Amino acid sequence: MRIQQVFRICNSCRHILKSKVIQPLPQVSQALSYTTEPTRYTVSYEDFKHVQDILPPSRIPEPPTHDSYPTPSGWVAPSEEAPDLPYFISRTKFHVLPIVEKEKPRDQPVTVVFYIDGDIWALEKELKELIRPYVEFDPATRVHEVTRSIILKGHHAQVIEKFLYAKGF
Amino acid sequence: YFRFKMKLCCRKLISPARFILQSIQSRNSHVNREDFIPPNLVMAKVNPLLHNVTIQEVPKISDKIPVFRHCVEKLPKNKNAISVWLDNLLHARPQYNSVVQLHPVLFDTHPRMDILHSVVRWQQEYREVDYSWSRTRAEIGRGKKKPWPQKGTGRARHGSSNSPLWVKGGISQGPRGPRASFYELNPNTLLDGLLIALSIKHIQNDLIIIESAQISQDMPDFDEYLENRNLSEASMLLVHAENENISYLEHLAEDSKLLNIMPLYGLNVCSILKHDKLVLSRCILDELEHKVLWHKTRYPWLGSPHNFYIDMP
Repeated sequence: MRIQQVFRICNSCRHILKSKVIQPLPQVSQALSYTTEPTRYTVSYEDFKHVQDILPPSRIPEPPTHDSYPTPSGWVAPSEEAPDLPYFISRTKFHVLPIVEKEKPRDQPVTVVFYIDGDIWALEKELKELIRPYVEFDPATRVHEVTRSIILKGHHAQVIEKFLYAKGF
Repeated sequence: YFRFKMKLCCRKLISPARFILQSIQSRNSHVNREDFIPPNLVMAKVNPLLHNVTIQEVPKISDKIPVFRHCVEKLPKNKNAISVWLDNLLHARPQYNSVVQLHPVLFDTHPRMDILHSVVRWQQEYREVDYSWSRTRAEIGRGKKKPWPQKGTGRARHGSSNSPLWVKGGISQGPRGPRASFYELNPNTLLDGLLIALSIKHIQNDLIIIESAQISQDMPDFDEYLENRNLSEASMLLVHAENENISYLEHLAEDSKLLNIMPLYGLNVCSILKHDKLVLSRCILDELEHKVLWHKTRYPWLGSPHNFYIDMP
């Protein structure tokens, strides 16, 4: 049956091709021969200025000066001079306080304050007393002098932020 | 070396092991003396390198001395710029005339020994390739023949003489082919390592800053220059900028065993720690500061480093 179908299709195609008249191609003029001149083009960099407006700067910019602090997001600018304390806490490169909350394995919430210069133990004493009302038992702190950081048990980022903003760091 | 020693010992009729032992013992016999001080010992107020040399006191830096170079980048709030005497290759005696200011982020970082160790270890290890290769039982070309029948002989049962149990058999868990110990360290760690090495050199008074490394033959005698600064036995690493003409310095470095020259882009932790003294030319400091502080204050890469910023250094 399939072979009969194929033969029928072939015959019909032959009839169609015979009936159609193949029209001759238009004569190719001498101007449109293979040896044409290459297309001319000009290079212009005028539109690149629109790209340059969108390109970002590579260095993180200084934050603008606001009228009042804290800003609507809660950010406070650092004081222009270092406060007169035995320790100093510098900001991260994004101009944010160096406090991080993380979850150590097996249900251990932890806050880390880093980038501390000077007398770390004095800061540790103050932070311990800061955290005491928020903690059930004695506040647990650990001083890591090699990495210049203090590790506190529990999530206390907001309390410490308030404290450090008040000091002027 | 050992073949040469064998020839000598054959003449004297001593065993080669004893000959080598004797030579080592005679080389290190000075260690057992009572007044021995190891050469890498640094004690307060007593430096063994300066035993035969007159010590020249370095004057303290006061506020009246003119500053030749100020810091280019912004300083952190809790730290002041570090001031260091400016030296010159052209003067035989150090003339304490002017002072140079250094950025504290570069020369006054917290000395993290663990970072330094990891950077030094990386520098030495990432290039290593272990070419050891041992044959397994399949690669020993001795065949699959059973050495003796299963039963009848009183010996243990074996299927091949290539197994790891056999002497001259294959090694089962041995080294297999060239193995590269390449690994990448965090670029921030590498940068911190460099800064720690520089600050260690400054703290230990091994940092010398020179006005320019571009000198001609008008320079005074180099040995006299070193003697006046108590540097005749100290190995020096001189770091210069690319646009300086170092042709005469290259002559000096070729002849001397203790002087090495390096452009700024070759600065690395192992070289800094290997040499006793680090000599920087003033032209470098601006570029170094700019590059280091750009890395410290740039946006993090989105993926891999790219060039599509307005102000790429």
